[in-house]
Amino acid sequence: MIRPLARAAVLAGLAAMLASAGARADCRGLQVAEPWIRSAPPGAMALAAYAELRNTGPAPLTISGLAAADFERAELHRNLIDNGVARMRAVPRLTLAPGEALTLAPGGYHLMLLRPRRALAAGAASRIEFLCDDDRSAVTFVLRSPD
Amino acid sequence: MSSSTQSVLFGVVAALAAVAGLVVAQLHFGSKTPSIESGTLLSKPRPIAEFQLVDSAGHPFGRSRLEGQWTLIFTGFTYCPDVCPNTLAVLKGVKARLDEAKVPLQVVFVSVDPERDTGERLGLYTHYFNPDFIGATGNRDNLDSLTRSLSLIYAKVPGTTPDSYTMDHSAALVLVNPQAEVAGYFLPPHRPEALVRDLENVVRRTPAR
Repeated sequence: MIRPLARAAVLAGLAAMLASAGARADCRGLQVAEPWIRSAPPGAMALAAYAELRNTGPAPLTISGLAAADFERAELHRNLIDNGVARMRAVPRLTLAPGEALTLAPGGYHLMLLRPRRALAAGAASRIEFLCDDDRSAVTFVLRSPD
Repeated sequence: MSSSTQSVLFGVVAALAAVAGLVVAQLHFGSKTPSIESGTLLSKPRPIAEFQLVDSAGHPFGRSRLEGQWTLIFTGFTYCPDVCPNTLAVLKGVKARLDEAKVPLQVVFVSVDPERDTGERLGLYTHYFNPDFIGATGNRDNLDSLTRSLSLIYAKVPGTTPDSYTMDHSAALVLVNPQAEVAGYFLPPHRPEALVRDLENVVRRTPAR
């Protein structure tokens, strides 16, 4: 026997879940400025995206992943030159303190975009989502040369 | 003139001669290894052992391809989305400036990732920056032999998935003289203006015969 009150509660819960999914709640406080993808040689299997990330919220913000429909994989990476050797390493989780900013720029942090699913020429737009613990933020990146 | 004055004078002349000798020696040897601002030149260039790579067109690329001209070698891999295109973009600008100044220089991008870098992929990647740039790679033994001669290192580093591994590689540019010897190194960060000045300086001083 279905009690009307319970059914109403379930429906309300479902409605709330759908509403939150539809609203695409952002990674709270994440601000992404000047997003761009470095235009790459034809057939390039790895591209890099850059932007300035800032946590404008009152609480720490953790980016735990990326989703990019135009690529097979997207990961946050960091390059460093260590004793004359260029090393690139994945950064699985990045936490920004309230007010903290991180610049993704050539030679340092970047979003590593592996194996494009479509040809992306200069001027093309590509959407990349930042995944936070509960939320996600979609940002449109535009391909251009670094000059 | 008293004998004591004479001996003082002699001492002064001898001292001046010694200083002049040092200055001449400095100028002479200094001119052999000019100092560069964006790296170091070896006082004694080091020979490169024979090696056998293949260029992106499928032609053999060995020691003989380094003879008779100045060459700049950079190691990397095409799955490298940041450091390698940064460096190749710098070299593109440097090469254009050197071409204008009629300073000949061969630029070679050696892929240390032969598993993924086929000749075709390497050609597309390298020629995007300049159609005259040469892309070359080879098997492990030959890559090891060449990088050892060049005093460079590289290593495969596993990624999050088996096919998303990355390569650590020396970030230096190696300058090879027309006798196929290592003449020096340019160290990061690579600044186009300084590289152009240094390369013009070095190549003009000792043009290929």
